[in-house]
Amino acid sequence: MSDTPKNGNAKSKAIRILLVEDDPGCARLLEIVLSHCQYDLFEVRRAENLSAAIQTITQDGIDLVLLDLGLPDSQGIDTFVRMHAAAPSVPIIVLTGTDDEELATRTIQQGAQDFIVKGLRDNSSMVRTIRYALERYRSQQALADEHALLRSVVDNIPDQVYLKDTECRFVAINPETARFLGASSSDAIIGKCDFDFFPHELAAQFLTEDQAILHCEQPCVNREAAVTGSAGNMRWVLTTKVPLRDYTGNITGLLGINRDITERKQAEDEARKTLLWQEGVNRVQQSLLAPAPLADKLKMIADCIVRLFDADVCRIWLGRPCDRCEQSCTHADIREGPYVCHSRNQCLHLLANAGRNAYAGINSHLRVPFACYRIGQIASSPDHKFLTNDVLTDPHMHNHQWARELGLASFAGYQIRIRDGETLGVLALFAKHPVLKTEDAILDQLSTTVAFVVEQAISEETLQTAQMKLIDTARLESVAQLAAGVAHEVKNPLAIALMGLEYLSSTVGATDEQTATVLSDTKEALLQADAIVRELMNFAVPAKLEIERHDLNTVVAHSLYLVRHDARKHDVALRMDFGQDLPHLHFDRVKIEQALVNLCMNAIEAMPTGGTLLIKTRANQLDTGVTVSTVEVEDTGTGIASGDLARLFDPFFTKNQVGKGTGLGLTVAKRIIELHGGTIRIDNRPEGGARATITLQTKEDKP
Amino acid sequence: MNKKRILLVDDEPQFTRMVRLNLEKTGAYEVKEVNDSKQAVAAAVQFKPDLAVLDVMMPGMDGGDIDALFKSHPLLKDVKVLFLTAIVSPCEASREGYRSGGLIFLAKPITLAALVKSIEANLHNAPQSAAPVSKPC
Repeated sequence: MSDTPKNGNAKSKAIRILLVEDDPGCARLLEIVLSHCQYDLFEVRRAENLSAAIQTITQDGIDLVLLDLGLPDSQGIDTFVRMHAAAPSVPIIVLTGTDDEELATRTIQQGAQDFIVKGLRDNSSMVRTIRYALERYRSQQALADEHALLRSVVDNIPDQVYLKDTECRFVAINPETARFLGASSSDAIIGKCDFDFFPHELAAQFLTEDQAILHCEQPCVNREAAVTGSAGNMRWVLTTKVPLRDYTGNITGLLGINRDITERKQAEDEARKTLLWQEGVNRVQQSLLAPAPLADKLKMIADCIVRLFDADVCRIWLGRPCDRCEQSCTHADIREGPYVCHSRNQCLHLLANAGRNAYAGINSHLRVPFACYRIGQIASSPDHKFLTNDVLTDPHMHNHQWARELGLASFAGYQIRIRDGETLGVLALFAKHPVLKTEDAILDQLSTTVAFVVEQAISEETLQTAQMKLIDTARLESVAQLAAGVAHEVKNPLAIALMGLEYLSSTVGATDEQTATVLSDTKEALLQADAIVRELMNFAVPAKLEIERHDLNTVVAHSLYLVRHDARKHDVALRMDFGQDLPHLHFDRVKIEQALVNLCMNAIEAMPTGGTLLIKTRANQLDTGVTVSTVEVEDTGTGIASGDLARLFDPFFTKNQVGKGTGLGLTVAKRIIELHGGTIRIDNRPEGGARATITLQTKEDKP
Repeated sequence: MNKKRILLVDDEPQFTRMVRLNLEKTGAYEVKEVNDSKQAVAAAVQFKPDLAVLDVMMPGMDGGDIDALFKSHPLLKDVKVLFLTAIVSPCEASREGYRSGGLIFLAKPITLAALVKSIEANLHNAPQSAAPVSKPC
């Protein structure tokens, strides 16, 4: 026996033992025993009291502690507790006297590996005890580590993991399961079953499934199911359940793993829907290429949105109604009330309306002034869209009651405009389901499609108008040329006939009344023919203007002076209402006078039984900042039949009896005004009679 | 009373005849017709008119040429001249008249009254010599 370690084992790692023993004799004895061990190399450190022992163990890499419970600074079980607390990962074998076995047993319960009764053991059995204690401790540790690893995996994977017993009660669950079931902790779930957490029908289905696993050993692998969670929200789960067996192979319960695949399902669902929507949108865009009236195309789009997105209502409004409104727009009905429409161009007009609730609340939204209601606010907002999936509580929505009655959940509104372009209108929809992000994107895209359709319609219309005007002008030009040619040839014979007739008149004298009537009628007919020829020639005069600066009021006054005889003859009173702030204009005085006289003559002839002719001049500032001068010629006659309004300016269109009027007066007037870059319009006055309006631009320079 | 002498130059004989008959009927005028414009100057020298009514567009020589010859002719330079034409409308005529002072244009067809008024005005050299047109056409 020797105190030194055996050379043969010098290289193998010594087991470092801390011997805590205040009795030197006892300690010496143990040291000898350990140093004489044949198979193991022990390196013994010794502490005589607990505090020294604790200090040593926290500093050195001790593998095992031999601990006497009766120390100078600590006694009994407390010694073990304190030692164990100081180094919980170091196994402890308690040294005890023969009378202390009961105490020793208690230390085992507290976590001691073993105990050795001093003086009872032989050497080999003590070494074996130490070795076993170490082995046991190592395997315990390994098991604990493994368990901890498993626990950490189970606790941290995003799947729900749970164990059920043969009665299908939860035995163990991971935190994810607790969260899914809406429990604050795992303990709240243990002992409960699916019926405590799911609707009865679903729980019954689970039970059947579980029983099949437990009794028929049918595992359930990757089964997808829609589950209503504790919060009432629908989740998709992928479930795998397998039976659990004990070492004898008997089934003791089941292990279940649920994976929440809601987001994946939603993404798949959305992707599928997106594809479907995109197809639908593409189809609509294709069909929009075919020529059709704008309103039809808009209706097609609205129908498509209702169909694809299951919208309750889809509506499209457009601004600028004057050209494109399918119904006549008088703004009279919204001149009063909180929503005042100030400008015709600032009002949205409903052009398309679709969906099962298309006619709900429609009346207040047929016309929507900009900035009024949500629709008008979208039109005038700097943001190009507005989306809410909570119409019932969203403070931006106006009529919550209405939405509640129809059970609506979402509202989406989009400006109709091409990027950086002006807002042409608004597209909006209501639905009972939330509007998804992808839906929003597609709707946004559709609103741009609408903008293109509208733009296209506008440009087509403009083109058509321009073409019509071109044809119109060309037609007029050729008529004019022909007329001028004929007129010249007609004038000479007219001159002869007139002179001849006057000679006859003076020769015959007024002796025979009938002859006198014939002569005067013939003369009047000749003068009438002459008047027509004269106007034809004027009509054909090349567009050469003698532009000078004039006061429009003076020229208007002179025109009235020129028609005063005709007015008196027809018992027509002449009235003037001249604007005082009219700027001087550049125009051809004689031609403008001619146009005005023609308009006045027309007005006088429209009042065969007398009336009032009012001529009014004004300077007007347009929205665009341009100042224009207007001359209005109003009569109190019978007005113009609506069918005739469009033909008023056609050459030779006359409502006068045959033989009266030439049918060229208004044509000539229009031509003159247009030569000056102005416009002329004739419409019926609401009070009766007609009104001709000439608009001339104020130009500082000669045109 | 001394009748005023009016020379009518127009390539349309029917027209000059009608005008002559009408003017003579008033008893105030002695009228000579010329239908070949090239004969106008010779006829004028012989007839010594107080006033000439000239058509503008005629074969051979137009009204403007005749007027120029009159103005440069020692015997005819004081003859008053009126143009009566189908190529200008009454509007144009009145404007030209006002404008050039010397050149008065009247439009065909014309009533006797209007013609007489213009003739008388010119004979008496009044500035507003052209027959005012009652209204622009």
